[in-house]
Amino acid sequence: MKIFLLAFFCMFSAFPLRGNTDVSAAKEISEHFRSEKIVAGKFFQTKKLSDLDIVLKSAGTFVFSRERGVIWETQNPIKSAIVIRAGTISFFDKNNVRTQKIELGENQTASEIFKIIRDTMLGDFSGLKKMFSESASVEGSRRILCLNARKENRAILPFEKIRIEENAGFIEKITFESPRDNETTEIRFAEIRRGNADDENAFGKFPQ
Amino acid sequence: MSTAKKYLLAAGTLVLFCAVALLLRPFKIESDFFSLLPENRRDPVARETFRSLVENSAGIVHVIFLAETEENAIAAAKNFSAQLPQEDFRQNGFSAENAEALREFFRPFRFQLLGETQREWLRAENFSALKENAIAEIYSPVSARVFPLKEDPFGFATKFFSENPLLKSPFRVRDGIFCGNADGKFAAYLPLQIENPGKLSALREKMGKLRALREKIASPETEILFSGIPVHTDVSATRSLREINILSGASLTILLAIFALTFRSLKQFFITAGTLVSAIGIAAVAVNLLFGEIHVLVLVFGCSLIGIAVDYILHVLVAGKMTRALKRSLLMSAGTTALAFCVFFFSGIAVLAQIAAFCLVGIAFVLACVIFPLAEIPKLRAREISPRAQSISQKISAAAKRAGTPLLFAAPLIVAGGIFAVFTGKFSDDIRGIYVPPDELLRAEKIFVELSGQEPTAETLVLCGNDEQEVLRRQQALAELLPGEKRCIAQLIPSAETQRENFFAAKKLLLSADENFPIRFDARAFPREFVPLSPSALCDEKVLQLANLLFRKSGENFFAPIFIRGKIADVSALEKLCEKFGAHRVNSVESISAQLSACRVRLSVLLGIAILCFSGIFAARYGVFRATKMLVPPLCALSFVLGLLAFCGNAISIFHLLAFFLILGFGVDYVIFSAENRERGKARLSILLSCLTTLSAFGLLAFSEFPVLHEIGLSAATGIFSVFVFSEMLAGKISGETSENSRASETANADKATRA
Repeated sequence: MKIFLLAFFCMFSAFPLRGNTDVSAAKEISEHFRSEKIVAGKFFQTKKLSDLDIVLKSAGTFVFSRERGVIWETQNPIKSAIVIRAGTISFFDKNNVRTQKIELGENQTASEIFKIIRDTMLGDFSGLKKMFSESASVEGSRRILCLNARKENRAILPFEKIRIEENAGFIEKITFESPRDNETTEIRFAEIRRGNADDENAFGKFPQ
Repeated sequence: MSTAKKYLLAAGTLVLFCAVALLLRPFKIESDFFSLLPENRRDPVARETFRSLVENSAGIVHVIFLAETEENAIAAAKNFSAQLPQEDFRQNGFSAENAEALREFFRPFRFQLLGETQREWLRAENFSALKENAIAEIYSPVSARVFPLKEDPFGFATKFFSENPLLKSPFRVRDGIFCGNADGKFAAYLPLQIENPGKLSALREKMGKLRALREKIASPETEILFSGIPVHTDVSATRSLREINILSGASLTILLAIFALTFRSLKQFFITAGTLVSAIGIAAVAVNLLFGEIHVLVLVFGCSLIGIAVDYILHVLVAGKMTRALKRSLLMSAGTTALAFCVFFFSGIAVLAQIAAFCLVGIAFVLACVIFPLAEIPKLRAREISPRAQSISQKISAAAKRAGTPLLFAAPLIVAGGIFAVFTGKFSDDIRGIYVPPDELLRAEKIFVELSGQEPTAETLVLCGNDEQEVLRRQQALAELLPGEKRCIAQLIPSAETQRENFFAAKKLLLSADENFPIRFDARAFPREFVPLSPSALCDEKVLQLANLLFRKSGENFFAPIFIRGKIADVSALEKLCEKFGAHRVNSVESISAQLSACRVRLSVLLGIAILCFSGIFAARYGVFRATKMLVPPLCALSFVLGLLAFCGNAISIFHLLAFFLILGFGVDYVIFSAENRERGKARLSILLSCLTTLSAFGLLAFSEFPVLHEIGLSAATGIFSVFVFSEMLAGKISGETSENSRASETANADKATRA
């Protein structure tokens, strides 16, 4: 969860990622992101389950609001939503009825995701260093930032690697890998809108 | 046979008795505080529960690192961990290996242990809800699964692990270190298991290493705290040893001074000490033979109480010879003391019965030594008593005697005041008052509670039986009806029936074909047959430490406690539920305090019975009028102490009552020796010496940091001093001494002193 959120936070910036191996890439994201209050758009997700030889494709919309939280709404092939508000992560079914609510204080994985989201929302990426090691590289016009979970934290994180690919000033793809489960999830973003206050109305669809 | 041979034979017989006794029953010292409580000693359920709690926490030290930033706290924890002596300590913290071991253990049972929502959907065969939920999880960008999709497509294990209250940790894990917040700061936490705690000396040595390590890595940015049972044990042992050294050193010095000044020689001191040490040894062997064990508190109190027997030795040493009057006094005194201790057998407290047996045997031995060897061997008797000592005792007695008549008139008022204090005074039976940790340790415990979120357990209910599944079924049914937050093994492992239901319902779901479900489950991945998971299997595997606290097998019986947090609003409803499901309510603080209260009342009644018995014996021996005068000093002393306690606002506890028995015992001794010895000169001195030696023991206990010893010491010292003063005031009236006899006796003593 935190990865895709981090990814689209990166994507909204129109900044170049420097091709060096220190943490300045993350710093640039941080500096740009502080100016974003509301971002919304579409996502296209491809999930490869190598053990089962299955590829799952889905698509939907998202809304990020600095003040209200995050909505990740899958629309096909199934309809469901994940809503993050202060202190909780809630899961909703196709009828916008909540099926599960996680109190972040009781679940470390969810709590780590929320902390990263919160720190990211505030433009503070220093928290990432505690859980991940960072490296950046350049492939032609594409700049790539890789985050690897530190060994001692892998047991509590659902994945080990995150790869963010930026091209011509936009984040075009984020990939995260879970070698333990042989899963790879790739998310592409499109039709981004920034600063549109109407996008916050989407939070009204989901009960607190 | 010569006298020496006779006593050598007697000594040899005693040594042989001790050797045979120890062969029959090897020496066993019991330190279980639990056995102080009267009813619980007969209740195996309570004992087993308590033992489980102690075993599971006795070796765990909680090390807490507090800092302004999480980084500093974690860095300090890592530094501490890296330098920890591995042969002495094991870290119980989070590790990927432990998590993996737990996962692998639960793998075969992943379709039997379900989260609440999923179980409800399965029971209702609401497969569509399950499938929709599972699909949403599968398409979620990030899924934290316990097992891969091919093994658990519906995420049963994931839901079970995330929803189960017993598997939730109050801590975050960062870089393999538990983290949290407490006392307004960031905290890192290391749970350490002491390897092979063994004897107290080994435990203290290991705690010393921890303290040295703390000193070594100390820094201004981080505060390091220790809490847990081993820390309390170490602190108590250190305080005890310090006190024993100081108090016994002071007591020994005072005793040596008293003996040296009185007898002008230390030979009498060594005679006395040797006799008492032999008495303690024989008494300990006898108690061990009778009861199969001896409690450490019996050794502590018994050694003090045997100090009563010092009186007998002092009387003979001062007298210089055994007269009929002296023998009569000794037998009378020993008899009444024995009667006072015999009431302990009816107290219902095993430790008090042991104390009674210990003191009876010890005092009998001392009495036998006094009447026979000491009295018959001339070389062992005293030289001339120090005239200064005799002069001092004479002056004290003369000064006190002047207040004798006023005391007789004031006695009813004093006794009435004592009775009034009993009815208006406060009583304290709170078990928590027995041990008060130092402030630093209390703070550490408070911070650990805040950090771990572990509220103290308000109630413990225990279900037991010899059928594991039957116990689990009852616990599961009871836990569903109990209000509030609770912890029990049934929350983690339901009964075999429930597991079977889950298993076959999950099988039906997983093996049903559904083209709309993206994951095709391989039927070969489903267990071939249903095998229930039992709590004992989980405990045996040792993958989850908590399990050993929640379930225990002892012999043929299984014990499954339910720990309830938060105050119980309706206790009577709880008791009805306990009765219905056969659950035992075990040792809540109120329960223990209620038992202590009942014991205190019982001991008070026994004290009253003892006083009535003494009254009867004195009346029969000395006549009613004289017996009344003899009872005035001990009764006034008791009333005085009661009144003083009430005046100072101190609550009376069961330990004060133990002191009252001492006051009564000594007081009766003093008045008996006064009554039996018309020639009061030497009796007066021996009573004074007895008072001084007793005060040197109990008076110093009043300076103890331990509330129990402080209470006993202060009450006993005040009471014994009071009873000495009161008995001196009435000495002449009790002994039946007339003015002429008194003057003649004093003149004879003065002449003797002048010739010396």
